[in-house]
Amino acid sequence: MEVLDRQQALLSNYEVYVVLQEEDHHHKEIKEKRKLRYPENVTTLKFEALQYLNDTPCTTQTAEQISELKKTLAEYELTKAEILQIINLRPKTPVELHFIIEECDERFGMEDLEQLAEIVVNSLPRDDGVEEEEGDEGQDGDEQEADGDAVMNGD
Amino acid sequence: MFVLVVLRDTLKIVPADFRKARERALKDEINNKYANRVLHDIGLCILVHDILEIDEGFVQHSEGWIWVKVTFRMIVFRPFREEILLGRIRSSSETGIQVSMGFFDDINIPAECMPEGSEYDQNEGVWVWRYDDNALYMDLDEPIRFSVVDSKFLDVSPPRPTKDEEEGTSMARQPPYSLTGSIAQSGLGLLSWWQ
Repeated sequence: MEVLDRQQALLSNYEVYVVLQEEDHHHKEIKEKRKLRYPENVTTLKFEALQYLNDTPCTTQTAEQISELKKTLAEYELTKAEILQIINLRPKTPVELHFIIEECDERFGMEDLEQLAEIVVNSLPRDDGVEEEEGDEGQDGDEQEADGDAVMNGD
Repeated sequence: MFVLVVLRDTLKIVPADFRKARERALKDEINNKYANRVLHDIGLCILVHDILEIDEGFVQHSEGWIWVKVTFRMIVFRPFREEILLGRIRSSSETGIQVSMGFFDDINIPAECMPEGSEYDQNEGVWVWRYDDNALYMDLDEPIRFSVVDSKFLDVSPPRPTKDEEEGTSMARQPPYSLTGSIAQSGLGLLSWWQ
C-alpha cells in the first residue's frame, strides 16, 4: 500500500454519514441474499460510527443546506476548519461559537456571533425539541423539512 | 474530524466474489482490509469513499484469484489540532479521564488539561471540578466536549521478541493511535455544565 495524498480534503460528518448509510444499505441487501459473507470489522465499525453520528446534527443535513451555509459564511472571515466545525457541531449560541473560533474575541464582536448563530440555526434547520429563545427557527422550514427524525431529548 | 486520504494498493478478488460487479467487489475488499484499522501516521480508517482508478487485473501462476491495482479514496478519522469533539466518559483515574467516541476509544484527558480547581475524588472514583461553591462531578458515561491538543501514533506492527521480556509491561495494550484532549477552556467539559 502506498499513500498518495495524506489529506486530499476535509470531510464533514454529513459526508461520512452518507457513505456509512450506503454501506449499511449494501449490508442489508447482502443479508437478504444470505450468500455473501460480510466482514466483521466492517460491521463493527459501521455500527459504532453510525451510532455516534446519529447523535450529531448531521442526520438532518443535506448537501444543499451545507453548500448554502458555506456561501453565506463566506462573508465572515472564517478558516476552512472553523467552517467545518460549524457544520459539524451546529453551534446555536455565541458561547458555542466561542470555542470553535480561534481568538474569537479579537476577530468577532458579540453582534457578529449572534448573527452567526442565527445563520447556523436557520440554514441547518432541525427540530431540537424544547430549547430556549429559538422561536424564529420554525419560520423558515423552507425546502427541507428537517423534523421528525431528529429526536434530541435534552440531557 | 474526518479526512479523505488517497491510497493505492494491490487487492485480491477471490473467485467467490467474481459474481459481484468489479467495483463493488473491490470496495468490499478495501473495506474488508482497511475498515477499523489504524494506518501509521494516517489515522483510523472508516470506509472507502470512492475508487479513482482500477488497473487491469492479473492472475498469477498457480493462483485462482485476480490481483488488481487500485487507487482509491479512504475516509479516515484523524481530527486536527484544536478540533472540538464530543465523546462520553469511559473511565476515570487519578491521572485523568478516558473518553470514548464509540468507534474510537483511545482518548485521554490528563489531569493538567482539566479546568482549574479540578481534583480526583478518591471515594467516588470520579473527577470533580470545584467552581466557586459548586462541585461539578464528571460521572461515567456523561457526554463530554473536549478539544484535541495532541495525537500520537505508535508503531505496534512488528511483534518482534524483546530480549528483556517483562511480562507485565509488554502485555499491556498500547493503542496504535491515541488522542490527548483538554477541557480547560470555557464551554468545554460536560455538556450539562453549559446548558
